[in-house]
Amino acid sequence: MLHSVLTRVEGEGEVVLKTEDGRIVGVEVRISEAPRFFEYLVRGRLYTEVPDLVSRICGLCGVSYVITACRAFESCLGVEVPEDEDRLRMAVLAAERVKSHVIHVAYLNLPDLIGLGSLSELFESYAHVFQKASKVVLWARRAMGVLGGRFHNVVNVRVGGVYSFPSVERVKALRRDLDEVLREFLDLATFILGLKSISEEVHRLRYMAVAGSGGYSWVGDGVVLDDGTYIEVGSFENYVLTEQVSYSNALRYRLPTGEPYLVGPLARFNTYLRYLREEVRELLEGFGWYRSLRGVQQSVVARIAETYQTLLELRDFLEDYRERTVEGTVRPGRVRGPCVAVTEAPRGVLYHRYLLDGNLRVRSSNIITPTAQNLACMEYLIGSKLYGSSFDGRALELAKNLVRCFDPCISCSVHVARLGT
Amino acid sequence: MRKVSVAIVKLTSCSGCINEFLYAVASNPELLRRVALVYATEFQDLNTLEEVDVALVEGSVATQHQEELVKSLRGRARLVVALGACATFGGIQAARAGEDLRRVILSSYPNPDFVSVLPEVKSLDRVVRVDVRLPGCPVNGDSLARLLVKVIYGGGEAPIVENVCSECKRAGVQCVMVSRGVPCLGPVTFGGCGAICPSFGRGCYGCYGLNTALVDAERLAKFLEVLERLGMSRDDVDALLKSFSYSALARIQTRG
Repeated sequence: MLHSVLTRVEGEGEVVLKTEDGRIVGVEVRISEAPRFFEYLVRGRLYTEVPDLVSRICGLCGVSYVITACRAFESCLGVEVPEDEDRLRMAVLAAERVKSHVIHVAYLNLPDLIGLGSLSELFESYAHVFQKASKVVLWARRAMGVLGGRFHNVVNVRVGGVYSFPSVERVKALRRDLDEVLREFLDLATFILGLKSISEEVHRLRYMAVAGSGGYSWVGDGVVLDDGTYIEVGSFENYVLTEQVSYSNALRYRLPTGEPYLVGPLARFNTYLRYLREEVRELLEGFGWYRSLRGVQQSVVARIAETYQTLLELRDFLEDYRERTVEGTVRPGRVRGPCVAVTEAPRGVLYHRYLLDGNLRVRSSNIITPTAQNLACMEYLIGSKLYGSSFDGRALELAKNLVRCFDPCISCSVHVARLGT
Repeated sequence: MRKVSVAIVKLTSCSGCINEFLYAVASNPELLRRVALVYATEFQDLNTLEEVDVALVEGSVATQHQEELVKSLRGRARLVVALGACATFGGIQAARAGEDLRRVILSSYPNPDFVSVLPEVKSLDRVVRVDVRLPGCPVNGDSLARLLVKVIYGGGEAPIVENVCSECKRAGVQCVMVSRGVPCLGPVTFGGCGAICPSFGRGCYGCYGLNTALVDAERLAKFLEVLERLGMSRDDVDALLKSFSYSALARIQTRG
């Protein structure tokens, strides 16, 4: 048995290859990160406080947690979100997607594609690429700051909308700088899409994305599988199979058939390819990538396409922006059943469910994260590549690279799990 | 030019503060020329945790393994930096401290036997001596960048003794508590964030931690009465303080 710590991923995990007579016979993706028990931490707390608490689950995609929790409570309490406030918080979610994708594409994944092992080497050998990526990340950080308050654990999103609208001057300044950021991004995208090292390997995978109501969707009321099967959000938790294994602090999920499935950029890309904007389609066509993606190593293409799509969506938002007054206090109705929602976090389908008591305090909750849903898929994929082959260091590197292509967010995956009740 | 060697060690946490390191170097690439990243699993493959100048530690100690790791790290690091709320005060996960562990585990996992954690959640200084504390959930990336610059040029520590109110005054933000009666933890919370919440019109919820340099048990008790009069229940304030200031709360309570 040989194992190696997962590197250039968020959080603590290991990949373990089990061998018999020098042949690989088993794969385990171990999640060693210590659990934080968020289901316990939100118990007894008022629904209005929950978004700020669950934001702490993830240092890369906290906004996705905030938005999902807000949408869950809004649906079960019959709270209407004014359209302008909803657009503002969707813009915060968009800026987070840019940050998360570019960090993965440029700082964590790119070293694999050009044969380097670290961020520092990237900085030394490809300073221009590093700097272009940094410009995009720094702009996304500023956008999150202006629209949401900060880069992580944003403070401007609440159940029912936002706390305040930023000043027009600050928003216009973001818009002004976006043109240069788009140019830097396109240089970065052109460099990466032109790399011959993006694998053409085909993986037979099932996949799932949030089912939106038109366009390349980030929110919706259910999920859709690759074969078109639609699962309404209220049935999601009972639809997927849940398993706990002894070597992982994260639960794992499968389709009712027992098959593993993929969530994230690749699943969204294949589901919504036809809805990509013309500019994005043209960029992809230039490199022969305007087509369904067939293997997880091509997820980088989906991340680049989504980043471009998102930057263009943000440009529209900033162009149209007008300062408003916040509509004010939320008047929740009576609790109508469990509070559930799904959102596309950068890494895929994120599901929240809360049960509230009569005082609108949380009685129980369940959060199913994208990375937890991808774990079974990671093992299946590594296994299908490596079972029966002889063990060597290359096999281990390959396994680690495959895991990295999923952009796992390990902290998220262990911080939440299924609740018995 | 000798580089300053840096290790980034993650304990129980979300990586949000580690990503502030990424921001610090992205906005100031000179840092990458002067810093040798010798250990950082999020950013590189080759990792040897030997002697280092600076250990940036994110997260709180929640397992036996983490406790041992931190102790061995202390012996090898010249400067140990508690990075963010979890390392400084215990973090949000410390809100489970003192509760029945089996019940806590069962709230999240069908099979509790597969999960092994300490009954307590400890801030870094409960386990080893800490040289610098940078609080915040997340830590302010500019403060981290300035700290790294300071270490590179051999500067010393400059402890923060301000509260969020000072930040509001400097930024010209109208006091949400005085002008609109919004409960705000700013008066008892460490500054360093730039008064983000009040500038968006909401009260501070204390994510930079209880400012033990300015607040003792008696002052805190008086202030909690004010919050209660503004409509914030005692349980809710306690939960926030436990979530973001666990070890500080314990400290001022024992000091009396």
